[in-house]
Amino acid sequence: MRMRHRARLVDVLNRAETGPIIEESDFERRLVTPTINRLIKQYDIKFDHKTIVPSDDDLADRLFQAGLDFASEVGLFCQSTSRRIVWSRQELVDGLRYCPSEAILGIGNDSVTVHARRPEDTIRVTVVGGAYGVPVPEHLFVPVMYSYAREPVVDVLENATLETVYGHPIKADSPWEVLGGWREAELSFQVLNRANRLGMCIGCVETSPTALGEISASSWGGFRPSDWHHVATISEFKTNYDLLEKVVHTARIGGAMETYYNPIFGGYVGGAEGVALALTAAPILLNQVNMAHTFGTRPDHPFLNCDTTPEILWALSLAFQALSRNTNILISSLAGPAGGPGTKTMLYELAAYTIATTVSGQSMIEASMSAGGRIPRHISRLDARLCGEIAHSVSGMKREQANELVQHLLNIYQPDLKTNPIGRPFEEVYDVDNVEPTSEWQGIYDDVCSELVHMGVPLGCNIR
Amino acid sequence: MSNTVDQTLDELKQALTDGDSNKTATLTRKSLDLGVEPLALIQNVIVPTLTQVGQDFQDFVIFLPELMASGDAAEKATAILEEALASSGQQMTSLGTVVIGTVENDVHDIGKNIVSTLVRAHGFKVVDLGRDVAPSVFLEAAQKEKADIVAMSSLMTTTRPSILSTINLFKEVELRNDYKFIIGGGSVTQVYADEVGADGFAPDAAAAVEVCKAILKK
Ligand code: B12
Repeated sequence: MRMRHRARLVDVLNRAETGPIIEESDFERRLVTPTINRLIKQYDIKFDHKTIVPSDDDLADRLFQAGLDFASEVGLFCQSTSRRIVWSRQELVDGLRYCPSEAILGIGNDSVTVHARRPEDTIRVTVVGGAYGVPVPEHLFVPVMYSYAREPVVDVLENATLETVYGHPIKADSPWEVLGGWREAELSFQVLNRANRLGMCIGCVETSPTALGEISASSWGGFRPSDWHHVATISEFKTNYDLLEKVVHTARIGGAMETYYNPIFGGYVGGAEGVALALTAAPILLNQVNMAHTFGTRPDHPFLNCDTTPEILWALSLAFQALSRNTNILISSLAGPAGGPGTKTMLYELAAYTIATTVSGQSMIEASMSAGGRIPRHISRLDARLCGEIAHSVSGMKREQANELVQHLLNIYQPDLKTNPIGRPFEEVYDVDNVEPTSEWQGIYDDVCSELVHMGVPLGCNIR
Repeated sequence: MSNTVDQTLDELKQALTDGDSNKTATLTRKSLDLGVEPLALIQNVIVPTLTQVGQDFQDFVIFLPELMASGDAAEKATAILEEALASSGQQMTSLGTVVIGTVENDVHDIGKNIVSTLVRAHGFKVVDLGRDVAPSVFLEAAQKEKADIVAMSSLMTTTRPSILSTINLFKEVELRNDYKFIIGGGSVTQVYADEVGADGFAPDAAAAVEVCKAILKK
């Protein structure tokens, strides 16, 4: 079942203009924070250091109910109208019944079908490779993205962010943003041509700061409806007219949409338990409001810039179990290691992240926002190879076994997270001309793969 | 007597730590009634307490809502002390006035909020303009508040150009040299700060406080 749920578009826009008025700071501090704190207590949600990948189904189901409560009590705040977009519990449940349980991304032989999964499922996980938001200079964009496109384990591409357009800064909300979007499309098609994967789906203009970049470059001659059009959520639980404009446009071009919500650890939703609850409630609301195909997340530890701490991995694992046990939502997640290219830390983090999220029922894994995603040129497609290979090899694995592996990996990499292990830029770990990793970087990668096999990750055993 | 003073000050520290604005206000007034000097209250109570609260947040002993609540409570206390000083004909001697905001079209404000809470805690007067702040709004606020420092946060390569637009606007109206500019946020580096001719850059909130202090000493 695919798209049957976009009929409520006008209703969504209407509610954004007629919902209950509230000040933004009151929404965050008087509504989000206290509601989260109350529901965590009420449903007895507790973080446990020893089980980063929990296998307590009752806990996961309680979290799902808490997520539904939160979604119906709080809703989504629209900054442009200062109103809450609210839905009854029944409306949200009905919305979930008709959310897409599969999605086709890309065209023809280059397309991939994303399927809903359950915890410990053997259904194939879709692999996204790229460098969401990592700034790259124009001359490196094609080599960097081609390195991902030529990787057979990668099903869908996720673009990096252009630093400039024809040498000029891409200034938000200006003609430069429009031009930047078009330049990204032009270069992306060069990448697909070079890789001979013309119908491959591309995650596009996802860093467009206003609606301009996304909407203009997703029209005739630019990115296609079959590409992966991104609509963000503003943390925590907020949207605005720029984002809703992207929703309307993507709906009207019949585009495939990825919507995502990135909670801040230690922010208005609090610690591990609050992040888990927020991660559960957000897709329920976003399904209703943005009517996307896939629902992504990349939580952030604000001081370590990553999503691989024990608390965040636990929150992801439990929330994905809550959602995948109780809905058909197509969950996607974006690994954001603190480590960067050339470091073993990055590879260990990616391994732990992929194992924890895959056995918990996600449908797509995306790699990666290496080095936290904000250091220019700190990108290398071996991240996507590792995550893809691991995702396929651990499909069907029991959560208990996954937990042991993740604990083991955490013991190895956790002390390094504080050392800002950003590694090295693309051109130092890659030969830019023939787009191959240096032998040094390839060697480090191979070493870590052998270590993983020794630990019990059945790498390479499950070719899909 | 000094016993009651000590006890009141301890209670005030606790109220600030708890982020209890009403209690903070009551205890600030009580401290003044007991004869504590407003400046002593700032230096010996508010600054060290809020510094500790900031550190607790960095260590995640507390989370953002608690940090913001303490920041609000401190603001309330400072407002009362300002009034007390004014009515006795004195001036509030803050370390300086900082006008801060996230640049135009940029909604990332978590880092900026932390910087503004911590800088305020260290005895500066901070005017927080929020996020998505246009160059002209920085200019207007800097003039109105007689700012010493204009602080800009930018998290994206697409909004970073707005830092330069803002500095250029100040140049055009020939006010560039009346203020110090400091910048920060994920998209900004020391190299970029040098490029746009900013007076300071800091990679995190604690360093931002040091930059503010150092810049005004010059
Ligand atoms: C959280 C987050 C969001 C949240 C923001 C919530 C909020 N209320 O702030 C949400 C989900 C809303 C969001 C939205 C978007 N985001 Co965002 N986001 C992030 C993320 C993950 C963390 C930022 C953060 O809060 N860090 C924690 C704080 C504590 O750190 P900080 O801001 O750096 O601040 C510290 C220091 O820098 C310093 N500091 C900060 N300000 C100042 C100021 C001065 C004067 C000084 C001295 C110091 C200083 O002190 C602070 C405390 O120590 C970053 C990735 C990352 N790891 O940085 C991406 C990131 C910044 N986002 C990005 C993007 C693309 C977007 C969107 C455009 C996505 C979209 N398509 O809609 C939108 C932005 C829309 C807009 N117009 O602004 C990109 C930018 C890419 C680029 N190359 O420019 C990043 C880098 C992620 C990525 N790799 O894609 N985002």
